[in-house]
Amino acid sequence: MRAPLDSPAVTARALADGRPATGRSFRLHRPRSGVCGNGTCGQCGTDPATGDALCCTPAGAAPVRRRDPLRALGLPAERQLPWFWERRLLRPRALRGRYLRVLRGLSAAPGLPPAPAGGPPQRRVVEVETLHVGDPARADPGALVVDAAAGATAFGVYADRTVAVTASGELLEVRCERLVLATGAHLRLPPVVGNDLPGVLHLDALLRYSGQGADLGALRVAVIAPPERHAAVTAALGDRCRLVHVGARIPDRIDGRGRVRRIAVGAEAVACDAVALGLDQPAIELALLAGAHGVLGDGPLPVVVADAVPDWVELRGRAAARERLPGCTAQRDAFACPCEDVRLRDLEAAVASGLRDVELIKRRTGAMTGPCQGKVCQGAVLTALRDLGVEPRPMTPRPFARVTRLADLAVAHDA
Amino acid sequence: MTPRRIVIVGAGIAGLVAALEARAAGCDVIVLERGYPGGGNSGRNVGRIRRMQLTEELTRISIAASDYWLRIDRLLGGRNPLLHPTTYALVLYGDDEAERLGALEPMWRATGIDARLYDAATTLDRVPVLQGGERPVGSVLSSALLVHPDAAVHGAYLAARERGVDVRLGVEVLGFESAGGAVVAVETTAGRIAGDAFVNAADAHARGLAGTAGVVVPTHPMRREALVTHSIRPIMDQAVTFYRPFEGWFNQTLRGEIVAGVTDPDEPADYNHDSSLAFATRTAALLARKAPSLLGLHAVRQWAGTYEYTPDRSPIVGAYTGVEALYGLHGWSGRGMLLAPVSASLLVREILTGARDPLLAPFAPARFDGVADDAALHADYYGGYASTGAAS
Repeated sequence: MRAPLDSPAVTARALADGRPATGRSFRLHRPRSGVCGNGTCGQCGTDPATGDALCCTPAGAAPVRRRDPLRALGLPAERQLPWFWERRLLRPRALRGRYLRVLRGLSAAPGLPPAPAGGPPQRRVVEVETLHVGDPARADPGALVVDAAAGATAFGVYADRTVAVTASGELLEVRCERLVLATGAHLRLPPVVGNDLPGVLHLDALLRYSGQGADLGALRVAVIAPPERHAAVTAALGDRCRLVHVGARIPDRIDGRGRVRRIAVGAEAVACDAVALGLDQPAIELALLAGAHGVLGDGPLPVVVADAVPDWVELRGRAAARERLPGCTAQRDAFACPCEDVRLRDLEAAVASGLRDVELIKRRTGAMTGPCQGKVCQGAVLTALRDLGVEPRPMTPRPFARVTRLADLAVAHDA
Repeated sequence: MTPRRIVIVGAGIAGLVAALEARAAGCDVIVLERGYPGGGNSGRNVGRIRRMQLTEELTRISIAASDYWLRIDRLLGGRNPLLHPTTYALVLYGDDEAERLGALEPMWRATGIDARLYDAATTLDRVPVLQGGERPVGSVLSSALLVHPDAAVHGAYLAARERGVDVRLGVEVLGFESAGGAVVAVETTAGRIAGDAFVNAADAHARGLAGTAGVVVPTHPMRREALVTHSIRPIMDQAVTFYRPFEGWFNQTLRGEIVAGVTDPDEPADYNHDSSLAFATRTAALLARKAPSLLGLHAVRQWAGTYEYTPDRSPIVGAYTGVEALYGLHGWSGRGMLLAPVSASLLVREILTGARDPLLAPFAPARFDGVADDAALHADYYGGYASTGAAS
């Protein structure tokens, strides 16, 4: 991941221009836009020259593919279950190989990004008292700070309190006595129809785009957030874009074709170009890698929270928040996992077929196995499964907490 | 007496295929699994199905195993496990490796498989992802298959339930109960379950389980790690393996991810499913040497599983010595997806008819009678796999 941009990202410019779709979904070729604004969610597409997420790439530096010639293929696929291939594909046997090659060729995946120039990263072992990951404003004096603004990313916590960090040509193995995580939050995706439309994004992403200087003046924005955040949102965005709606109630529907056009909140319909969702899933993945237990919380829109956090780890700020989010009625046709195009009804079908274990359902549907590795979708998936009578056990925490380029891992080896 | 009621421990691909075969033969079958189907190594592998092996015994059973996979969809109730062709590419970086493997060509030819030793230029031409990397001295290329392991496990699990196999999840087997020299029941967290024949298909946990019946199995568990990148469009059709400087491998999945791993030659023998940073950097560094064009890819996840190693790196399939009615079906040493289904099928036939298939002859548990308990830890890795082949 790169340092935050001082000019608008590709996704920010696309949103400002009223054509937010920059990516397409892997399986169904649905148009998608940047949801997270910081390279976590994997929805916005990648820059073919670098492999970086378009939300981390300055506008103008990468071409945006607007048309997806294979979108038509996604439409019949929408009616199929994620394991459609099991009974419908690949007969006769002799055709198997070629058939699959064609099938693979039809995916919306990007091409192979070029290998970056430059030598292997230097490996350096650092021993510190306190390592602070995230918002530097929350760091204690004397702590070693891993700050995305300085181009540093912590991607894993390994044995012996070792935190792995990539930072400007170095791979740091930081051994720490204390780990402070002020890593903020991801979006908690609400289970309403239209939740994957381009223009639906995390409120943090909109604030980030605004901070990058994107000209959002013409953008009609609906903000959905807990009431206590409304004043701050209005103050931050009121004169940067057209705030057409600020409310706590989750829309009953998000409408549009190819992008958001309006939301329906009760009897009211609000025309808008973007829906900024201030619904936070605390970013706890490093705490889980350090040994905390993930549990699905409660409330109308539960998120995954860190329980039994080891005594050497501390969550701070929004990563530690246990905000009560507004609820909504779960809709079968809404997406639970946008990376793999898994809808609530697909989870329902998996459970109905007799699978009762999160791990089985995860592997059967693909839910939570895409580029975000559950960061955006896990709350929605586990809540849906809980409501179907399946024990909502979070998936095994594994590195990489942030996607990490192989080149940044390929330290000079002694072999 | 022909066993009527068969109890199988482990709902991985081995246990589930054994269950389906036994059920098809008319038995009552109970499968006990403490986690979820495929929760062990059946869900932690990359589904390489290849005929090319370094010993004749393994080659012969691998040929049968590949053929079995090609018709397994019938056993799975018409479900397709996403089996598809690939080229297995064993890439060589030392002249001694080429010499050692070249000596195996007559065996491969005699068994009728298409494995051949190729020179460096042909290797780079046939496996273009290696271009720009360290120049190999050659490779052994052979046609092979990849299967989607989850699809196979789910197909087997769903088919087993449809056919009336009693699959009990969340039930842990605590031990075997013997009477008069034969196992008569298993003790589980859900009570005692009696049967006529018992199959130990618990892979890395098979050793401990066999021990409860007084059977010593000289296997050892060892962690094997992998990492996976985000999906990209198809760029390679080969499943690459190399042994220098350490054993490593990579290939592209149907979803477009590159999966890769490089083993640690000093990996300790124990149960450990943690992910290590040393693995991630070692794998990336070796890919940088062998296939540098992949370095722009982003890794999204690491994972780990456990191999169960036997002293000769070959499986344990058949009746254990010293106790009746208890059969081993484990010790895959990294070849479980390949060998488990055909082995399960042949073992079930043996249990029901008493006739042992010649393909299983080299894999009887009795070959380790009296072998030192820690034998699996010794002998060099390559040599372990080729102990009766060209290895010196």
